[in-house]
Amino acid sequence: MSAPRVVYDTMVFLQAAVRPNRRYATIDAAEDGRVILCTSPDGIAEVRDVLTRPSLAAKFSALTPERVAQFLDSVGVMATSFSAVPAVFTWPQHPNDDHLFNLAIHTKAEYLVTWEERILKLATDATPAADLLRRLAPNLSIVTPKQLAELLKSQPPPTSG
Amino acid sequence: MATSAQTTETPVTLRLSERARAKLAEQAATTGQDLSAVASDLIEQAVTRPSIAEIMAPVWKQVAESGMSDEELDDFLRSELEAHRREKKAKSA
Repeated sequence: MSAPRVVYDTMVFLQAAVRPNRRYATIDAAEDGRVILCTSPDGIAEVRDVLTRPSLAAKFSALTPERVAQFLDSVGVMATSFSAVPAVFTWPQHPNDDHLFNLAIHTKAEYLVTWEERILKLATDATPAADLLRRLAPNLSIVTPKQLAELLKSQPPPTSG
Repeated sequence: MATSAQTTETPVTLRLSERARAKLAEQAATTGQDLSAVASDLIEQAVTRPSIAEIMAPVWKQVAESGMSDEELDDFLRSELEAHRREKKAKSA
């Protein structure tokens, strides 16, 4: 059994950068190969842009651009980056999240991991956007980092290949 | 690429999946190196690179000392993310 493909919401990366107890299995699972973390250059750029905002540096002086770059380099090593992601899905109410869904669709991810209620709810919504997402990504589950940790506990270790 | 002044030849046998081998060969072709050089470089980076916990430890300490709750921190990060997206949208408009 191969490791499941996962896409992490921007907030998951932001939380992983600033507070370890909010990571649950997300980063560790990518580090040790229990999941295949799929990223895109645009998504990683967004994480970098937010972590290097002056307001964050003003609050946490240790969050330097160099440290953020090192953090993202480490994420880059553990992830598979997809640069040409077709825009096949849009969520009219929240178009800022489209890049996540399109990455999940393109990579055939099994899990989209997020803390955002609006994204979690989309999995069970009866809206045209939710219907379209289910058609385009029938095997995608939207889960929290905590739920991903539980799911990984119950799965056998991945085999290589 | 590993450029440390002193290296020691260390014979090893790699057992790789087809996917990993293909990616290694692709990197070798791209960089004009042989497989051994690319594998050595990757191993060097993997074992000497600091972990995320090591990199971010000073930040985690500051955040812990700030006394912010998980909810306060999430709200702060979310507002910064939203501000970034608004600014980006305004710039591209």
